[in-house]
Amino acid sequence: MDYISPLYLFVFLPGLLLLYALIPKKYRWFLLLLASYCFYFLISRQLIVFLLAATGAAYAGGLLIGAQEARSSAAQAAQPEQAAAIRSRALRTKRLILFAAIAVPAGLLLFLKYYNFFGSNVNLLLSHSPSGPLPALRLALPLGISFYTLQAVSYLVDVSQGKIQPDRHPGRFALYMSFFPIIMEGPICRYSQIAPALYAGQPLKGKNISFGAQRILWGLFKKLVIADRLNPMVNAIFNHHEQYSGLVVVLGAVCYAFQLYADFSGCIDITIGAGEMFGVSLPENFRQPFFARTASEFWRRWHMTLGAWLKDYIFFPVSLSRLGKKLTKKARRTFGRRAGQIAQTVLPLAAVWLCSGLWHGAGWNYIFYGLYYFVLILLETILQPLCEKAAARLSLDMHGPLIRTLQTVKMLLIIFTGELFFRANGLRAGFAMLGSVFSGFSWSVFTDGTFLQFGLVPGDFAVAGAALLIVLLVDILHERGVHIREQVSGWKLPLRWCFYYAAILAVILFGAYGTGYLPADMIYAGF
Amino acid sequence: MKIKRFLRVTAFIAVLAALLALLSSVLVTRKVMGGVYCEPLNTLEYIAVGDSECLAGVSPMELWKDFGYTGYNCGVPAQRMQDAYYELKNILRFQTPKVVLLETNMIFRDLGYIHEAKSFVRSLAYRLFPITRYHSLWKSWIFPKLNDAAEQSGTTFKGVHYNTQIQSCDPSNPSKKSEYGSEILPQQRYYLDRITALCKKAGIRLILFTVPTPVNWSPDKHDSIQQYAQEKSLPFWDLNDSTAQAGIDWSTDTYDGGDHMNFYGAKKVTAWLGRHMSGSCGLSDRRGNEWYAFWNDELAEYLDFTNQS
Repeated sequence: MDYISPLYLFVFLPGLLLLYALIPKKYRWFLLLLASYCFYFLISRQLIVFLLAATGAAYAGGLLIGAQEARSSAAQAAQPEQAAAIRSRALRTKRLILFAAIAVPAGLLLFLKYYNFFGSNVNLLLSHSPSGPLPALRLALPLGISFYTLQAVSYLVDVSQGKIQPDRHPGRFALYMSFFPIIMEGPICRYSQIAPALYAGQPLKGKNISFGAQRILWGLFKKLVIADRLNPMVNAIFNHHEQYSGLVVVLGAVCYAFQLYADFSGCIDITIGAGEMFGVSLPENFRQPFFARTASEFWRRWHMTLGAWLKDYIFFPVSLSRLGKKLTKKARRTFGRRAGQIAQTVLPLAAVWLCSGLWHGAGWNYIFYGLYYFVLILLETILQPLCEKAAARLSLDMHGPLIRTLQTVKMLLIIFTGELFFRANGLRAGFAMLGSVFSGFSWSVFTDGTFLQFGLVPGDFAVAGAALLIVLLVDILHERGVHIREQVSGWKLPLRWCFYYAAILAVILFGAYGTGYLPADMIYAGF
Repeated sequence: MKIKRFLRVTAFIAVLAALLALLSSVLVTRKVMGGVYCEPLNTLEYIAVGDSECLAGVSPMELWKDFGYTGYNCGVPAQRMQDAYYELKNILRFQTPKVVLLETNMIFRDLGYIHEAKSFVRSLAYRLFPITRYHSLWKSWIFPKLNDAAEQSGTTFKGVHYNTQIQSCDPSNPSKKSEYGSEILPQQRYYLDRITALCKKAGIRLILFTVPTPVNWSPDKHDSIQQYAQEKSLPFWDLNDSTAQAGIDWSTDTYDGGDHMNFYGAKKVTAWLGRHMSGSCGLSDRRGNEWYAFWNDELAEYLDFTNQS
């Protein structure tokens, strides 16, 4: 059962809403927790123990940190003359508890997701053969582990930094860790963003349910009409890349970038819509990423909750670490103020992008993908003043249409190239595909029937293209600050209903599901 | 206020349901449904239902060639009993067969409760609003000529899955074994009972049969079906017991190590079925009947396609 299965959409979610409305307010959080664990168990069965272990460790860690903080405050109040020493001791103890508590979920993630990858590479390094001292293990990766681990870490760090109070209610905390709409693909939520609303058991409101249903419908449109329709072609090109070159590979990379956007953002729409129905406002994960002008802006628009998490829990801690400060000082002394400023960001940026790449998967192509953006963002930081100077000298408006177009083209090239490596079956395959773009380049692939070999007929391309245009139009409206759902809700009832029926029929008629289609997994659920 | 809102939601859902029902009745024609539904009305004398064992194991064109029986292989890969029941019920709106051949492997398919629930919701939607099942009908409207070029051969030779690959197997020690148990589970039994009742009501002779398959077959499964057949007074033809009589050669007659029949195996299974149906089922040889001349046209194509001409 996933978010696009009829069982979830027409039985689980409506049934839960009905029960939620019927039971008293004070038990609603328990119903959501029960539903979340049932949902997880139905998909992952015994792997639920890893979720329980991560939840237990983070909950206990939070309580211990809170207790240590309370003890330290009391001791400081009792012995003000020794406050500094007590504070320092307490800080050390808190850190110890923090690392121990983080070690459980992070250790599970590292072991289950990365053991075989690192093991095979260590074996290769040591013995130049895949069989070495670290045997390959058959490890099942629990669903959503990459997401709930980050949530556990953010909670523990926030508690240790005093940003939030530790949660003494195990049920509320367990619900924060396992809330069913976010467990598969995020968005990665902070405790303070959702836990109070989850526990509050707010009454269902007609507007929330209507807007939530509309958001789910929009997500289904993106997922079923675009992502799943393009899926056979993308799979055929990437899984048999050696058979293709030139324009076919280019279009494969372009289609994958659109497929990934439609798939991930579509599933996030479904998630946010489900949360909205229960009165829980989940954070947005996308903000028209293809309109970005720079690589760093792209990552402020794409998978925003991961970017924000990496900024708060990797970038800043590394920047403010002893090593980070030392390097900054040295760089400023050696290279001057401007170069020092740039050097200051190198170490934390490298850590962020290495973590980002690894978070997506245990493979060299993912590490390359992360480092690819590290290099691009570093280059942007270095070259930005030079570009501005050059533009000023040539009297070019940096916000004018010419520069805007050039920036968009540059970013699209960067995105498509990055996604090519991201989807490729390994780093070697990624480079082979990139190389093959420049060989066998021929326009005839559009007329010789090449694109009809991927299990798609012309109608599929027409529908996917039209749907992409609709997504582009909606993104333009969002970029201009238009709130489409609010606008539609202001229309007269017959017109509004016609609009809703057209949208529902578009998903039913043009969605790639059921007979004749291979089910396509939610891409980010695999991470 | 609450009643008004409730009425509004109900009206919205009712209009949507009416819209889907209307689209289903207008757009989902027999041509759109394809396969067995495209056969001229009331021209089929037998229908074979089942999963991929049936799909790969029964060739209606062979039965036509050798016996003159008209029929259709309605096997569906990984078919479930409840889907088979509703499919058969739907087919009987357009055809009046004398015999239904039910391949028994699907009776043991146990997908687990969550998959069963998922399939139930899906098949319920398909039944209530067929447009949800045949929602891709618009594909043939857009660039129809290019579609023809993209799609593979349209003819399926009355449903059979044609495969000439060979992957031999040792029937006493197949490389894999089905994970399904040998007990007829309550849900499967419920739909088996409904198929039995449906056939009885329509005056159709229901025959349970098992395509030979060392991978999926077991003596316990045989006993379960045998017991059911005795209870319901149904014939049960287990070709696993008659492989020698049917002439099955496991070194040449399977394309996947004993899981499914290939074309050569399907020919032998079909010939065996034809011999057992002739005389006992009241089927007629239609080869001389002008009304069925189109079967000969398709037979010529089939023989050409299978290099038998």
